[in-house]
Amino acid sequence: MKKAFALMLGVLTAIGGFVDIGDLVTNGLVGARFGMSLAWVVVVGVVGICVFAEMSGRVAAVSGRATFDLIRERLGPRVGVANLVASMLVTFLTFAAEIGGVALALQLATSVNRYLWIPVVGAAVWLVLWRVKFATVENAFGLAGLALIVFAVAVWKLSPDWSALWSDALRPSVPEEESLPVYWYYAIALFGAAMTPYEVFFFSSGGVEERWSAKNLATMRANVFVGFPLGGLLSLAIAAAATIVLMPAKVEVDSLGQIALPVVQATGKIGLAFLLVGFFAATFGAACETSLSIGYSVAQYFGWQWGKFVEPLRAARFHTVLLLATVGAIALLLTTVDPIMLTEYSVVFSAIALPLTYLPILIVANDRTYLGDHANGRVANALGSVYLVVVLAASVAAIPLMLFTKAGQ
Amino acid sequence: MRSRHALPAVLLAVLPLTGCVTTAVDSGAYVENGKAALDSTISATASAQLAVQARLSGDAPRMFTDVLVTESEGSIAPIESSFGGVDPPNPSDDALRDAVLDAVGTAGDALSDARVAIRRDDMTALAAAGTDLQKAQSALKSLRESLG
Amino acid sequence: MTYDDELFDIGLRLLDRQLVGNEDELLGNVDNLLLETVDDQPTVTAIVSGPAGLGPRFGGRVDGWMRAIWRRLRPEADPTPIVIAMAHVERIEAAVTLDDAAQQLVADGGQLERWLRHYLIARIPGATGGPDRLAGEPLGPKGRASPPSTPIPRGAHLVSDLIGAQVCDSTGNDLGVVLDVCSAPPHHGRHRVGPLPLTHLLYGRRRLGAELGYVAQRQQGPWLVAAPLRAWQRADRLVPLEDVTLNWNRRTVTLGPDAA
Repeated sequence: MKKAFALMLGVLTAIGGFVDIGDLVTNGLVGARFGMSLAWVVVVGVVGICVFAEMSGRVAAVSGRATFDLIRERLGPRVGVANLVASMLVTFLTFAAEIGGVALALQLATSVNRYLWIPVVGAAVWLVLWRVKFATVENAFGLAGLALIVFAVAVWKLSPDWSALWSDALRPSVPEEESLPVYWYYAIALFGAAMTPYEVFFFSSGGVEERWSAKNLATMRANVFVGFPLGGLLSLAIAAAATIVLMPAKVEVDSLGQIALPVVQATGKIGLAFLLVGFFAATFGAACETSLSIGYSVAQYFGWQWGKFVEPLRAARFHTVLLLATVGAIALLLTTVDPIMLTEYSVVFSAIALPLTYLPILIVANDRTYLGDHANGRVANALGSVYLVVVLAASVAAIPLMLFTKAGQ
Repeated sequence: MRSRHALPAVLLAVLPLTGCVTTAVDSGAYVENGKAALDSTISATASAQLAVQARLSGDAPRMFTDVLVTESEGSIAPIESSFGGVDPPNPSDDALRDAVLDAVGTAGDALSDARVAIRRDDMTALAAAGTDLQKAQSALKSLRESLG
Repeated sequence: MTYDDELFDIGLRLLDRQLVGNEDELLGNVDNLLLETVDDQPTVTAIVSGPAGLGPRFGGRVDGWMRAIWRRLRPEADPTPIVIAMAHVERIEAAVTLDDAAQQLVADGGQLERWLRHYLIARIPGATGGPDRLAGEPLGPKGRASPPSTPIPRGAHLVSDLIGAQVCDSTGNDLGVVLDVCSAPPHHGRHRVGPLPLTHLLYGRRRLGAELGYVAQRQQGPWLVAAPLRAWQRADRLVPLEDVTLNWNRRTVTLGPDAA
């Protein structure tokens, strides 16, 4: 019974924790501009993150080593530090975007200006990471993030033309007003939003924090293969809601409030209340995850003691990195950069940085000296190889498309 | 002779890549600027309309509607200044300039009225502002359609 | 090229690995290795951890910066790097496990941790440390001093001097660089790992990808990654150390006339 409960908790937390500000903004934006014609990208992205999260979780459980440990071991210190710097920059951008997202959610709820919220949120994230246990953070924000199911409820209540939505999703075509390069640019952005690099760092380090072993493999796989796809369904619900309400009205999404409009229209004040809780939980939880990812990666590269599973005084360097990252993110946001635009850039840069993370994981997951019999079988290798090509293609195409389309305009 | 024309040509080639609005070289580019300004205003007005409708039907709380309408209103001034700040390349484009700025300005006024009505919690005034928004939106859309 | 599966690739299997204690405490990385000539054979005798070991892996200016920062953090005038003799190594697996004495040595040597803990983290309310003595703190009356760091003997070199060294044949033709060094697998019936005598060198033209492990492990997948890497590395050669001459000063390795 206890095992079933733990399994359920894990799956629910995975669903609620899947969506972050990148998913919220990108799916809302894409739904309003392209309808459901980019829904296939969400599916591709979700399968991809499942494949790689399972691999990195398996590596963490069987070898006890987290992802970035292995990046330096395999790539050497020089290439490893280049990888570290690139991954950290992208994760830092994402961290700032998440804090911005929390501030936007709070602004929507209280109409207090977001610049007043930003330092408060940053301090709160740091404080939570300082004092609250890892499992508590994960479970609390993951479960509260389930409130975003209100998007699915809203889609159902809006009684859309289901056959039109389906055919749009299954037979994608570029809408008349948009051009093909812009379509592919947003496909890459959506892909980067679903397959964020920090998720893999966080998932594997979290496995070490929670002391996974080979016995936890089945639970880990359940979390990944059930939780993440259901989280992906939530992303599709966000896009669908935007397609139904915002696309006919020709709204170009540039604020969080616009993404909430369909839910307000369909479910009223109660739905909005759930939505705001969901926004807050998803972005705050993701802010904690990205901040920890930065700490994990730097500490794992240098071999420092890291983790919330030891007392803070035993991991002073790790906590210093967390502190510096938080101060830096607050500083970046206080330069009045628009958090929505920051989010849009962070998902594209995530797509660019994906090969740096996924190639080492794929290599290590095949290494029998780490994993013994748990090394990749044919299915994992086949899927991993296909995704390696996809990830490389997305990474290479991102910058030319960004320049050519002026970041999607 | 060649070098004197090279620098402006280089700048004109580079500046659009930075996404900045620059002096439109020809009427075609100016019309594109006009379309973009109208599209942004249509978007802002539509968001506000949806929010106002939700407020009038009791679906949205006051604060939420306030934030949305204020955001929409706040986006009008940058649109006006970025479109208005570019000189029309030909005298024949002056009419377009006036039409666009007019339509955008009317939408901005309607948004301000809506914002005031929301903050005062005055439903009658809000309904009136909603009608004004509808009119402004129709004007924007028909102008946009006429540009192709 | 005959590749004996009984060889242990030092660069792949030992360098850059995490150092852990018996209770999974994280102590640092294997940043570099000390090589000494024992019985005419270059032997890995100790692990060097910390910026003093990591700097030489980068070489050049980065090395200079890392050493400068490292010196600033050290209270002594002439600091010695953290050097752990191989006799203190219990196991080499996914991580390298050290025995208790070495664990204390490494932990106490970490000055950056101590500095940050003292000046920054400890000042934040709620900083707890747990009941055990924190690494690097002054010992109470009953505390045992950590064993002194193994001093670096004269004539010792770092493995980073050897990996990356120029390789030429007896007539002076450039054959590439040293990619990795190999020894017999550790744990050959010994309780502790102990020093590892080097037996072979792997050299080739292309440095990139050497540590990914595709030369060493023939069956490692996935095919999509393995096939191009093996093609890229097909000119790599393994040579026994008896057949080469090492010149440390000029950082070159010369193959003897009968080496392949």
